[in-house]
Amino acid sequence: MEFKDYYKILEVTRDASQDDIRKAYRKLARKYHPDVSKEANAEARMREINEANDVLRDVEKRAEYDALAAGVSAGNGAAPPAGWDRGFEFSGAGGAGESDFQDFLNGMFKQAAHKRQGFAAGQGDHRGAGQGGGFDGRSGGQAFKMRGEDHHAEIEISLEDSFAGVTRELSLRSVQLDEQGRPYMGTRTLSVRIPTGVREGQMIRLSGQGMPGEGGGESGDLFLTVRFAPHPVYQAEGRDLKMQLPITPWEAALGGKVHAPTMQGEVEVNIPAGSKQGGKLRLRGKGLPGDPAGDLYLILDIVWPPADNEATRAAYQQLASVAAFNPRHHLGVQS
Amino acid sequence: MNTVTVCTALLVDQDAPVTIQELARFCEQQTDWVIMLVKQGVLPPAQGPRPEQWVFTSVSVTRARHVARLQRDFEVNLDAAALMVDLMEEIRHLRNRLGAIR
Repeated sequence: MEFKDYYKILEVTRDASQDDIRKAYRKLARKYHPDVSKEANAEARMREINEANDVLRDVEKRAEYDALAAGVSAGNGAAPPAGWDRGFEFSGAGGAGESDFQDFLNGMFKQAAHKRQGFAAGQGDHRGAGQGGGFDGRSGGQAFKMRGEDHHAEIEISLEDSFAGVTRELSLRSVQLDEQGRPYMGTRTLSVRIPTGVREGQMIRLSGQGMPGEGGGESGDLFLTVRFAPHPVYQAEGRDLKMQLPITPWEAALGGKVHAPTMQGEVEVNIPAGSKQGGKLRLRGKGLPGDPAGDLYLILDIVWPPADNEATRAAYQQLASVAAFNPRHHLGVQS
Repeated sequence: MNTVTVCTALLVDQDAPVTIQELARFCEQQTDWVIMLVKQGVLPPAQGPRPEQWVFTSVSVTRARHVARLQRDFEVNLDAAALMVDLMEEIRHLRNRLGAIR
C-alpha cells in the first residue's frame, strides 16, 4: 500500500514550521490551480496538494500523520490503517467521478475530532458543536447523538444522459462505521436515476447516503455535482446548447435551406441571405429538456471549398473579377 | 453478496433545496457567515422570508464552498475571495465560449 508523503507533495522538509507549510501551499496552489494553471495534470496535482495541505496545516492532524508515518518508516509493523491512501470515489459502468480523498480524510479525522468534542461537550464546552450538525451536548456527556457528515462528489454524465435521463450504478468506497462505531473502508453500490434535463453544475441530493450518524443520529446526505463530459458537437450553457454549423459561402450569401443535427434528430434550417461568419440562429426548445426547455444556438461557420481543381479555380477567378471586393478597405489600403 | 441500494435522486434546485444551516455546515462556517455573503451580494438573494428559512440553489452552494475554501486556504478576506471566485467563473465562462467557436 502506497503511503503518501505529504511533505514531499508540498515540497517542504519534515521540520517545516506551520508558516513554511502555509507559504509552500500557497505557492503550489497558485501554480497548479486548475482554473489558471497551464501545467499538465494540474487538476490531479492540485487535489494531491489540497490533501497534503488539509493534513499538514492542522497541527493535530499533522501530529497524527507524523506518528503514522514514523511507524511506517520504522517498519515496525505499524502499517497505516486500511484505506489510508484510498479515496472516496465512484467507479461504475460508464461512470466517472471525482476521487475525493479529502472526504475520506475528513471522515477519518472528523470522526476522531467529534469523539474529542463529545467528551469536551460533557464538560460544558460546546466549541464547534454547530458544525457537527445535530450534536446533542445536553446529555451531560453520557450519550450523544450526532448526525453523519454530508459527502460531496462529482458525477460526469453525457449530454445524451441529461437529455434522456439515465440510471447509474455507483460503486462507492467510503468510511463506514462498524457496530462498535469504529471507522472502516467499505464499498457499497448505489443505483441512481439521474433526472432528465439535469444541467452542468446542478447538485443532486441522495438523502441518507453520506456518513452514518452516531448514537442513533441520522445519516448525512450525499451530494453529487453534475459535470458534462465534453461533447464532440454540442456545448451546454445552462439549459441552452450551442453548436458550430458549417455552411458554404453561397449558402451564407444567398440564403437557403440546410439540414442540422439536434438532440432530437435532424431538422431543416433556413439560412438567411447575407449571413455572416459567427452569426447565430436560435432553434427554440431544441436545447436540454425542462420547463421551459432550452434553446439550441447554431453558430454559422463559413467553409470555403479548396481550389484544388481547374473548375473551382476558374469559379474563384470569376468571382474575383466580378465582386470588386476589398476586405481590407477599413484598414485604409487600396487592395 | 453485493447489495445495490436504489436511491431517489433529488435535484437540489427543484425538490430538495439546501437550507442555510446545511450550507453553513458544508462550508464549516456559522450561519452568520452565510447571511453576510447574501447581504454583501456574494451569493444571489436566497429564497425565504427570514434568514433562518432561506434556501439555496446549486449555484449558491458551489459558490459559497468555493469562497470558504479560498478564505481558508489563502487567508484572504471575503471581498478578495469573492473577487477570485468571480474571476474564476468568468474564465470558465470564456473558456466555454471559446470551446463553442473553435
